[in-house]
Amino acid sequence: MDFDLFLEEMRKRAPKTKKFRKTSGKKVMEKLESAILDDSCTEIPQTNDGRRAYK
Amino acid sequence: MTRVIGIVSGKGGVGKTTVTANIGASLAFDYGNNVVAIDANVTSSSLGLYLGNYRFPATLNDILVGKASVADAVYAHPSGLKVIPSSHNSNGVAVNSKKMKEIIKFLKEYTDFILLDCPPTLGEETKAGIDSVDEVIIVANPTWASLLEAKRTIEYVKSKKKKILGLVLNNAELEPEDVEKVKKALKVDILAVIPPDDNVQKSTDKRVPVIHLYGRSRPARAYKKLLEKITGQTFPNRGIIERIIGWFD
Repeated sequence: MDFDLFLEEMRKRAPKTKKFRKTSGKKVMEKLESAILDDSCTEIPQTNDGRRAYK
Repeated sequence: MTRVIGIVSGKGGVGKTTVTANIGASLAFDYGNNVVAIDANVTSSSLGLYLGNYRFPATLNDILVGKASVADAVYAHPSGLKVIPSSHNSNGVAVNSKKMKEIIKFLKEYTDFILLDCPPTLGEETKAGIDSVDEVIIVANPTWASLLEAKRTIEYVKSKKKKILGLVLNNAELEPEDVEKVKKALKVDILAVIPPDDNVQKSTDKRVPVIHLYGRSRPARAYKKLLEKITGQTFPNRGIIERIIGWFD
């Protein structure tokens, strides 16, 4: 197959738009604010020593 | 005003991540700041591992390719430090300064400190990291190879007109005159000399920064002095025994 035809074929198969998650916007910023200020984000699992160190 | 500090080195394996973890956890836990540490080393990350885990549902890599928002990739360490880890599987993702600046811009609204744990060597990713920060801490070991690479890095940072807070000599047992020689050779302030100590490796194995796990050890005391230089404030809650030991350090 000609390389240009191959590229054309691949372009057709590729999704038209990439789904990008928003990195700004009111909701996203609210989520970020609560993650940083209210500790609402996922905790990093700790070893026993890690848990003891911050008790 | 949020301080954005990059932790960089010319050579790999000198202790950037250890320094980042200790500074970050202490700025959050001891000084009560809102701190986010970003692992900008997307090809061989380890900050998350040093702080407790290495598998994260969303990472900096996902933010960089638009698969996750910044909020999705923020995790909490019990010290109060927030971490944006990188993935162990880079998948060809590269840090670019435009995207990194964008991430930092969002984080600035809610933080007092943003720490960027940069990749080793003075490659494009490190340069992008340096371009994204306001201040830089250089980490080096007391070896010719490490100091020469540190010198190159310092020259690059200066060419970018970024503020160099100073050099942290990690894993170093040096006489004061040797420290002075390094200072003169590299034309940079020496922020701290962190001595070698088994407790550093033990704390890394236990995934807790040495400053909190072995708070009275020599490295921990050196980190406390380093934090005093960074913040310009006396280290909080230093016990009387530590203060007495500090007089003889």
